[in-house]
Amino acid sequence: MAIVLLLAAAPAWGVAGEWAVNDESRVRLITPYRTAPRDGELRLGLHFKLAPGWHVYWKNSGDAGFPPVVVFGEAAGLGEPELLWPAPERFELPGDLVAFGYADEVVYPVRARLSGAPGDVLKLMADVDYLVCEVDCIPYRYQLTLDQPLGDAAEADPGTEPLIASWWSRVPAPAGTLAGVTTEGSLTASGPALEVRVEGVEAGAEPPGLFLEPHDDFDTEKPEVRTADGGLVFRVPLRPKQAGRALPKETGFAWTVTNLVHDGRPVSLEARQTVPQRAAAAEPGPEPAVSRASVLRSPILITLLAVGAALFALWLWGLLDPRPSSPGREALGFAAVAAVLGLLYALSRQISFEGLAWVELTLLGMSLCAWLRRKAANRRALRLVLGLGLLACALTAPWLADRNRLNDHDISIEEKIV
Amino acid sequence: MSSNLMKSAMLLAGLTLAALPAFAVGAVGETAPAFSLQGVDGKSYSLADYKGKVVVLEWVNPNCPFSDRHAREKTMSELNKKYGQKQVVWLGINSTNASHRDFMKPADHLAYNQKTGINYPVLYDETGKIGKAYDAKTTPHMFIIDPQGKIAYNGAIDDDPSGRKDKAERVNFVDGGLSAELASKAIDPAATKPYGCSVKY
Repeated sequence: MAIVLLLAAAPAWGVAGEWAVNDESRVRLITPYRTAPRDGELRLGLHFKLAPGWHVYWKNSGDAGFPPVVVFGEAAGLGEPELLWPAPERFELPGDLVAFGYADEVVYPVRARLSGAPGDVLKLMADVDYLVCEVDCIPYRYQLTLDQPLGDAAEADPGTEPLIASWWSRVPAPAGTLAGVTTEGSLTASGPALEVRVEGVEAGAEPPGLFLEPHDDFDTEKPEVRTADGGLVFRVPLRPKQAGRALPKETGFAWTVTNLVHDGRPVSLEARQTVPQRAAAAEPGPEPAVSRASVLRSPILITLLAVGAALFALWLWGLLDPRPSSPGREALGFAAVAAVLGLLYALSRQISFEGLAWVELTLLGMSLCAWLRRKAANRRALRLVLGLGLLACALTAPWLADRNRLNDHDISIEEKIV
Repeated sequence: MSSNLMKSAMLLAGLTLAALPAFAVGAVGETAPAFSLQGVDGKSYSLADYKGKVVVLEWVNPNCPFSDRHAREKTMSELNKKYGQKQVVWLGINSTNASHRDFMKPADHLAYNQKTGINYPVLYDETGKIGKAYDAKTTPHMFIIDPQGKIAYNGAIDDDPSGRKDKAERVNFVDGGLSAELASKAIDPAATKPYGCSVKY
């Protein structure tokens, strides 16, 4: 990799290694100790400072990029270090793309164990690959070093200890470790979507965020958050990576929720849970706003409305009725076509893509029959056949919608709400 | 054109446009969005021309370090050479916006392709319409289209975003996917997370 710079920084003595520097970023190893204990937990930090507008990545980089890859060199008495991921930010990129990571400054905490480390100095080495992006991205690779003095007891460094502690506190707490806080996920076929309910917390000063780790079967869209009794509910539209696959009865998701407040303290949470598809019996009673919106969650109803609007548009435009259209009728016709498009969009969230395509083809068939029927003004038999064709298309559309709905079980719930 | 014919055409066009999002996700198993694009060589290329063949689409940007690394390492060119005799067509697509500083003019692109040994056509999609129809996110972002015109693979070229591994150690998903496709076997994995620079829409 020509662009990657492989630099071996000069060994540094103390609690911070030498910076490896480039135009977009600088990176070094730090520890919170003047003297680290020979036995017990060893805390480290991978410290980045970034030029304005540039960012590095969280463990899920989002649509592009990749997270830092750190390989620590072996040292006597040093266990396998574990890189931790502070709560990330969301970056919107051109083209409706999104990235998850950190701007300005970040310390990735690193946890390791020392057991009986020999000598007075622990020689730490980390081979770091990372990508720094603004809109453009540049990969870098460095070997970072740090010589950590060892002793029988830990002695904190007043410069680096607060910095590492600050970023350590931003590492999400595992779900279930905060008293009174619960998280629960469920899959809903409407959309489809993942719903994550977090109870026992409030929203922080910044808007709460939900960050998902990559999933084998789904891409995810931007989460929406709403407050609910005793907590927050995130809804994340899912896009299956493979068309035509039924929504699984359960699947694993890992997520991090940021910008929460618990007992007056800012917190973030992470969870890795097996998420079940929401069962009908477990469906919570909808809030009034939800039940109104649910009117548009029945694929058959949406399709009937779309067919009705399409017929209305055809009639207003004079394709069903030979009388000439007035400007007012034509304006209503445009409105009806706009309604059809809106309803098709709503339908796209309820049935499979293949089903949506068939419904749209039947609507195209309707307009084609209507137009041909208008052209065959003097041929009664042909007009009758085309009229029957138009009717057949109109009846076929809701049947196709019903046949291709994403999940019968879930839709039946929505129909009850309707 | 009569008034009614115009209205009908508009209605048909509206409904056809509404049908586009149904295919605009690049999901495996979906019909690959059709395209007709101009190559950096000035020729026109249409997906329809390759009906019945396996087609590989690679989103490229020579100014992206990831695209550039694979071009210089000949990751794609060697695969094209390996499979080009087996009814496999390889097409690069550059969806970089013409106003972006990464945009490369045809003469420069041709010179770059020649210098790096790119042995397949690279097509311009500077409006980003086709990139978005496939939901192409990164450079490189790879798609395999089966002879029936369905997307059979969507994702990364390999499992080595940082380029740290030796070439022989990498798992090349497209190599595996093409082998499986040509043997009429299911591609596994059929979807992976692409890596690289964001497409400069």
